[in-house]
Amino acid sequence: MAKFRVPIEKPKPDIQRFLDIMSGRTVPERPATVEYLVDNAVMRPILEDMLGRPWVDTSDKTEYMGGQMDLSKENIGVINAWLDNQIAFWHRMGYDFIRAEVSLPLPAFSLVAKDTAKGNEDLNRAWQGLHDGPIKTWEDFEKYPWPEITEQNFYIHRYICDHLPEGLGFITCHAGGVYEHASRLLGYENLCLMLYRDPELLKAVVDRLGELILKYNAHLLQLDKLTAIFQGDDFGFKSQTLISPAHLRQYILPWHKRYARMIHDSGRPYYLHSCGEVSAVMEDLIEDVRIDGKHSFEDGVMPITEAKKLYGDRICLLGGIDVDKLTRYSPEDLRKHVRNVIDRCLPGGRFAVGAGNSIPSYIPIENYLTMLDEAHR
Amino acid sequence: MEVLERIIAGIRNGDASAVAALTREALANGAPPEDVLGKGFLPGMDIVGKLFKKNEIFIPEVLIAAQAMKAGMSLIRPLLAGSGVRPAGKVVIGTVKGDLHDIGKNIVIMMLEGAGFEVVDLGYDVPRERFMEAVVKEAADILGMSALLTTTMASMKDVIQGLEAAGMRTNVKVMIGGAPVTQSYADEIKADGYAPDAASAADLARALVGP
Repeated sequence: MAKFRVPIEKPKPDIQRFLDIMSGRTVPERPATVEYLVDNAVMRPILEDMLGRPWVDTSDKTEYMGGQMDLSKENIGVINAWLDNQIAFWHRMGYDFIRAEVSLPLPAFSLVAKDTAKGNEDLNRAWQGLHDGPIKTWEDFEKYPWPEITEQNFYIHRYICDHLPEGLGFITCHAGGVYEHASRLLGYENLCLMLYRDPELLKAVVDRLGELILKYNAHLLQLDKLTAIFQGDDFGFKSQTLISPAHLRQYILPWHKRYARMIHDSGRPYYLHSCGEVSAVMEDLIEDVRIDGKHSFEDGVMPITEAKKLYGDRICLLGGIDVDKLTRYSPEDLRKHVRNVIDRCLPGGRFAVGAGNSIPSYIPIENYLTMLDEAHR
Repeated sequence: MEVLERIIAGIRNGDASAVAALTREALANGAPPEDVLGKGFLPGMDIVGKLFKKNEIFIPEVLIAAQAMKAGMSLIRPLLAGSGVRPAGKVVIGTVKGDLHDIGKNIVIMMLEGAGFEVVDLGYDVPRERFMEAVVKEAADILGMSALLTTTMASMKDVIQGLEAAGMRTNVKVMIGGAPVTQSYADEIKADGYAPDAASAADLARALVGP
């Protein structure tokens, strides 16, 4: 494997500089870097082989969306070691922040299949159930085990804040936004039908989730070292929004507007990750919700270079290196592509380079490192 | 309003009970079932497809429109069986091996059925052999494959190569779609067509089977 500028031996993160670039106060010569999520399959060999750290597997102890994290006395050492690894990874890979997220326990239906990434075939991946969810009726709604928010839900956040290296920021959110969780609890198809067959139940589910995330955010905003909320909530697919823009405006965007307002009131920015073709609601997101940045760009939907022209003077644009290209391009072709994106998006600031979506298990490690190497050139 | 026009409006509005009632009314007034299909249901879904393609309606509205058409279809299907009405073509379709995403494929099926195609749905996580067996068993005019993931779309190439190796490639047109799929990928793996959305998939299927 070629030599790369990352991991960095003695990193000098500067979260204030990152924020200044994102707000347009600073226009840098080199881009800041950003990432949304990095899969264990990519993180593990970097931690083990390049950073010399033992891997800590918490996959059965840190249920992503379904269950409560195991913070028992017997397990807390494992959780702490896992968090130390997370901090070390983001720090040494040259980011100005660590991004980590967990969700409240909101059990739903999952489909499980073998991971199709090369070298990862013995692992499973879980996908959201598309048709049904646990809530189909008012009775289901009443019986659903709606979680209570407790201080325990913020253990990892406090740990990260207490162990941040100098200059490193902390960015987080509730894993999964109000639309995504409504879609999980109802099933996407049922959610679609409910818009017409039982809008009151749909609204009750959305609003219950909206309130939960609002309270969750209120807890997050009490963390002194919190830099920003970078919320994920996928509204679109390849050619349009998953429900109509009018329905998004009616049910979903008002919640994001409330989140943005409370986050702004605390003096922090609100970035949104939302996949797919969402241009029909971009003006709403910028002018009404008042997001400060948008993440998730696919070249087949809207390349970040196009988004830069349309929105780059009002919000920051995050990521932008198409995941398909990150996966399938040779390192040489990928490097040229990354350079082209940087050259076109860096002028004026308000841009950080990274994957268009995230770093899933199937992105070759060499390509991930190539992208970062070019960013640090 | 003429009853068939009201059926078209009922499908457009996703009003299943109205479409069922109007279908009964049309049949009671002596309308041939093939007219209810050809001048009511299919034009209704054609409008839905066009609006969807222009982003004037969205998946929820397509789903309720398809449910409305199904409510009417269940009434005329037994009558059509003996009428000699032939489908526009036969499509075998599935989401490729390793991929559990089938919403996109299901919307394509609705659009294909709304365009008069007979569709055999193989479901999701479909291995190459099942696609090939189904093409033969169903004497399909078109094989449709869907994938959501960069890592699973490679299976589309395997299936096409399997068809070539078995000497079956010229017997069936292959169309592909899904989030990571592009026209250039379709060209690269020698598929006959690619559609960026479900309504375009129905147009493509019509073009592939010819007039």
